[in-house]
Amino acid sequence: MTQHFNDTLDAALERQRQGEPTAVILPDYPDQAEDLARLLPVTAVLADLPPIPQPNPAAFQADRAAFLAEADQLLKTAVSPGPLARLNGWIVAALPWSGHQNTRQKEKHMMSSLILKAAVALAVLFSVAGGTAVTAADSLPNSPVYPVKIAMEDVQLAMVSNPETAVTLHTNLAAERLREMERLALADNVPDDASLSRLQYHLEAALDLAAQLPEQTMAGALLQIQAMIQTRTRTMEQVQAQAPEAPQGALTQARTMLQNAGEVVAAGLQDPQTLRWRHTTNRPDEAPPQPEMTPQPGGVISPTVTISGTQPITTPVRLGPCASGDCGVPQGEGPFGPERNGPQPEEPGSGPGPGEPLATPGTGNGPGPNNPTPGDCQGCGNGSGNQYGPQPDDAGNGSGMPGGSESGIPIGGQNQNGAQYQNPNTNVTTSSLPGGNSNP
Amino acid sequence: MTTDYDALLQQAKRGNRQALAAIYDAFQPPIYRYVYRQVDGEETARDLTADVFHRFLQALHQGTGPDNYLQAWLYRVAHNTIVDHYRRQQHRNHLPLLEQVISADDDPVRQAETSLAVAQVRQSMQQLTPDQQQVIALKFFAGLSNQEIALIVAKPVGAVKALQHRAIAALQRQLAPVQEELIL
Repeated sequence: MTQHFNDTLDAALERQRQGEPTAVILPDYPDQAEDLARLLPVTAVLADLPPIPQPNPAAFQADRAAFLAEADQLLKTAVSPGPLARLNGWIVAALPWSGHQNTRQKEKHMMSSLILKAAVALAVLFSVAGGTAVTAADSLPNSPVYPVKIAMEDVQLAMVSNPETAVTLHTNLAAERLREMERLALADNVPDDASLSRLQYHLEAALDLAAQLPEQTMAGALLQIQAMIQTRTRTMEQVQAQAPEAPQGALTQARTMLQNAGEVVAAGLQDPQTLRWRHTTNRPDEAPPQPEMTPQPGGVISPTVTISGTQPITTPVRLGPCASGDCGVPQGEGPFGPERNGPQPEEPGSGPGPGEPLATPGTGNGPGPNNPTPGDCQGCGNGSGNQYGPQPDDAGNGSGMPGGSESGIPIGGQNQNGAQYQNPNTNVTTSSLPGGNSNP
Repeated sequence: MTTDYDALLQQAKRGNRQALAAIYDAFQPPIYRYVYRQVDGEETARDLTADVFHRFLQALHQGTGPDNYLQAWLYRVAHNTIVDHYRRQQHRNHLPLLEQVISADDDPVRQAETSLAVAQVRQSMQQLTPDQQQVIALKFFAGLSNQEIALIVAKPVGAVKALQHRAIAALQRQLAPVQEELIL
């Protein structure tokens, strides 16, 4: 009944709006005439209101111009939700209780998919990265994740600025190399030459850095190195007694390195000045004659009487800061200034050398322990091959790890004279080095 | 007509300036009248109408504007704008003034009658619910059809008719004494 009257009233109102008088309308609805007669006069009052005047044309045009000006301004940017609005929409749409009805399903699905993918990717990334780091820290040279371990060590070295801390770090890393060799040997694996090279590098760097320390701290640094050498020597003796035949040669070579380093340390403790003299590159002019030094490719000077294994091992002492795989900077023009000490190779990377590196796919050639015969060193400024020969962790991509950048960030330690130790772990090649010494 | 406006709307959403101008020219006058009936003064009506079209542009820019039924969307925004206006002024109900609709050309007797009726209508409408007020305003001030009102208030046409009936009945109860006085 009520619904019916609603329709009747509406029909009567429409006729009233068309201009029909109430007296004409009512007879057509005899059953509802009484109610209509009560209501239609009310709506007649509403319909009889005078028309509303439009604002004057000037005001209209002014409002219109303002509207279009605002439109022009907004149209300068894309007509789409702003980042916050879109984000808010996504968030609202993602909330199951939001009841948001206006968000397109397509966008909702897309955002859900993106969030899910991003979350999964991050989870995988962090778990893999974290897991890899943890795993790598305990890895051995024959492990696929060993390069990660070496890279992490290089980062540590690159971040050390205090010489005493650097001595400690190199000492600890030398001990770690020895532990790796011991574990490999006990598992009947032969430690590779790269491991020996790294051991040599850390021992020599620790000694050189210790030699640069002030007298009051040098002794402590040397005692630290000595303690490590004694501990590892005893352990190495036990391991050699248990290890099979195959790795005995490498272990013996490592022990010899330790023994020679121990002798250098003992001598340094007795005569610090001699140690400093032997390990200082910017000696004064009145300094006594130097031991015979063999110029090496790329400005590497190798004291022939230093730590050695079964045969003298030339210890590289980088005189320049070039730590990158691209050492094409002319000598004397590097960031550390023009001063250089010691022999200078005439041509970048033209030193004696190397033999074919076993590391692949680097392009640099360098003297490898297994291939000491001098050979060509072509294009020594690039690639991953270095004078230490094969590096199992070298990717040969020419970029290397810390210090492998073109900026010449130092690799490993740098002594007070600007001397820099070449890290066999990196892609540094035996190329010419820019200036040697920043120390006036 | 709806199709035409829908096409305009789609062009406007793509940033077509001419489409935006056409929409403004088509809808500014009725929106202005709709607002004018319910607020106190021409300037206020202009300001609120401008606010309606500002909201329209912002909605297009943010991608939250209408996909169709542009007219319904604009009236709904206009209604909300008026409500906000009175809320800011802490008015319990809007539609405070209808006096301004009295034409200056009417004769004094007619002016007095209309003024009295309008004043009573205003008081009576303040007794309506917001939905009833909106339906009456859209029906008698904006001149929209039941179908158009249904789109704006988001209710079925039957519900609009029911609201209309109850609103007019309420107004009649309020206005009956005045009508009797006018008759006497």
